[in-house]
Amino acid sequence: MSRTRPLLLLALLAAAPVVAAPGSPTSGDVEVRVLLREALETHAVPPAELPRLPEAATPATPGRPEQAPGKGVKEKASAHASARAREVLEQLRLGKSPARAGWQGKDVEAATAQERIKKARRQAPLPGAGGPNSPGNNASSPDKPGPP
Amino acid sequence: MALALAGAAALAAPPSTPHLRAGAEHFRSGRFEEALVEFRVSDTLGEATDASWYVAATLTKLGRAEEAHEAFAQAERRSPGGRDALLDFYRALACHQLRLYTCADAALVAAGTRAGPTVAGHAAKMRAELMTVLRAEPSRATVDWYFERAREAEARSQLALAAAYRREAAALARRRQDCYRCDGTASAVHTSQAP
Repeated sequence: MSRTRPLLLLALLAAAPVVAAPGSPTSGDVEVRVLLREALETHAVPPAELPRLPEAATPATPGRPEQAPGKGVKEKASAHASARAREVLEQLRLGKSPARAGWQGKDVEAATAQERIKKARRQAPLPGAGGPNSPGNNASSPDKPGPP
Repeated sequence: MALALAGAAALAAPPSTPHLRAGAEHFRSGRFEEALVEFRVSDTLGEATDASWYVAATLTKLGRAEEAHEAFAQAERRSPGGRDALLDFYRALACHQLRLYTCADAALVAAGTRAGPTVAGHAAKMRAELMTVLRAEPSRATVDWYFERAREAEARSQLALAAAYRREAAALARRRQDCYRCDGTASAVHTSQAP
C-alpha cells in the first residue's frame, strides 16, 4: 500500500459533511443560544396594563401586540401589510397559484412555514426521512390544493 | 491534509439551527411575525431543539396569549429541559394577558432573579401589582368569568388553557369567605340564587 492512500482516505472521510448528533452543542449552537437570550432580554418588558380582576362584561383577553417604539398605528399596519406581501410574493416565487399565495393571516404564516420546511427537507433530508419521491412527501407537487 | 482540515471545519449544524438563528434575529429586531415562522420551521425540523419554547414566547409578543399559553404547555411536555428563567418571564406575560394572575405570579416566582437584574426588576414590580389585586376578595362575577372562560377554552379544545382558567377560578373562589363555587362544579345559575 502506498503511503499516500491512508492520507487520501483520511482526507475523504474528513471532508464528508457531518451532522452534529442531537443534543451535542456545537459552537454554532452556543452562538444561537446567546443570540436567543439577547433577543428575549431585549423584549422582556412588563405589561403596560395594570392587572384587574374581570367582571361579567370583561372581554376574554386584554392583551394587545406590542407596538414598536416610535411607530404609529398606521405605520405598524403598513409594516404588517408589507410582511404579508413578502410572504405572498415568496409563495408566488415558489410556484403557488395566486389563490393559494393570497391566503390571509394565520394561513399565510402556516403556509410559509410549511413551504420552508419542504424546502429545507429537499435541501438536507433528515436522517431516516424519505427522499423527494418517497410516499407521503408532497415536495414534488407544490400546487396541491391547500386547506380552505 | 488541507482538505481534511476543511472537512473538519465543515461540521454541519442540524437543519433546524439556521431557522432558530433566523428566528432569533427577527425577534431581536422586533419582527415577531417573521420570527414566529422561523421558530415554527425550526420546531418542525428540530431534533432535541427548544424551538417550541421560542414559538410560545413569540406568540406572547404578538398578543396571541391563548395560543401562547397552549404552546408553553406543549413545550413543557416536549422539551422540559429547554425551560429557563427568561422563558418563565414570557410565560408570566402570557398569563397576565389572559388575566390568569395566580398563574402569572407562579411563573414570576419560577423566573426568580435568574433572568438577570433588569428582568428581575420587572418581575418584582409585576408581582407587587399582582399582590394588590389578589389580596382583595374577588366578586362572584369574577369567579363566574373564569369558569366561563374555562368552558369556552374546552369547547375550542384548548385543554391546557381550560385547565389554567379552572385553576384560577378555584384559587379565587377559595379567597371568598362564602367559598362560592369552591368545588368548581356548581353552576353559576344555581348558586346565584343562594344567599
